[in-house]
Amino acid sequence: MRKRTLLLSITVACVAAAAALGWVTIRRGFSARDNPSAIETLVATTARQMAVPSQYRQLRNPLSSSSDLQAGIEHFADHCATCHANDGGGDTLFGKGLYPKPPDMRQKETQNKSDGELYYTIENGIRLSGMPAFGEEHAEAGDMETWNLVLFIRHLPNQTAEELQQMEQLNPKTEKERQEEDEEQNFLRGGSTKSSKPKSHNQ
Amino acid sequence: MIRTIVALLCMTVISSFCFAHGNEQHVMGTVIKVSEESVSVETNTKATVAVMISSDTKFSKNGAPAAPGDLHIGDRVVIHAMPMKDGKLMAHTVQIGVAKASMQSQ
Repeated sequence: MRKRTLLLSITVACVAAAAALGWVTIRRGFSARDNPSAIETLVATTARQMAVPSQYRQLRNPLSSSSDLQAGIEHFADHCATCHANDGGGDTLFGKGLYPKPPDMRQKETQNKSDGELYYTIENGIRLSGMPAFGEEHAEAGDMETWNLVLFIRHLPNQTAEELQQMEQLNPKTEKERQEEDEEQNFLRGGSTKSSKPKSHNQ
Repeated sequence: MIRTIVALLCMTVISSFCFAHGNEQHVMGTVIKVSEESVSVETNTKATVAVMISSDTKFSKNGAPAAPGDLHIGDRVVIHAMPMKDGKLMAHTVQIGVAKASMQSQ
């Protein structure tokens, strides 16, 4: 009987704590600007790590040449940099607004992952995050464009200023953005400009 | 109860796909004042715009990385900045161009 009362008390306390936490969370509101809590991060990263099939985890990047790296640089600048930034740091307009935020891929949390884990993440995406699955369903682990990206991610800690400059030219831009960039560069070189009121960019 | 749980789950899923909408501003002009914390720029319309700078602000000159110390009064600049909660602008990038003096000597 005592055991039963104790068990009931613990259950009631747990439910009350969960309800209080839920109430506080709902009252505060949900914003993608927040960062996940430590518990949320631990649970999500552990589950994600466990969800990578072992045959993928053991894969090694078959590519290593400078032309493969160049292909990875170009692909990343065009497809990934909008969220991840050219330097992989994630400090972009979209990246800062995602929940969870893209990781700084130059850091050990990404660099310590195996080639296969990185490949699997690009191909299959990450559920409940902004990372889409870029691979075809049921594809073999032979997508060379993805391996180019894995090679580039490995290279991020040693990225040069020249590579960053090259990537800026490869980032997707609208016609209006290109015109504006030309105008800004012309102004910096000493040319005249039509208008120099601060321009707002709602994206 | 089930409705609440479903609503919470939906909100979690939807929030993870929402992109933040920014309001980046491009400021173009000539530097009239510079300090460790901010730079004031005079635009072509003679308006003065003050932009805060921080350790996260990236400086470049002729396409190459530069330092805050490379910024001088009279330099042409293009600053990409975001408005902060207090309405002040915080520079994300500062591109330094030619100086007024060097233009006059050309």
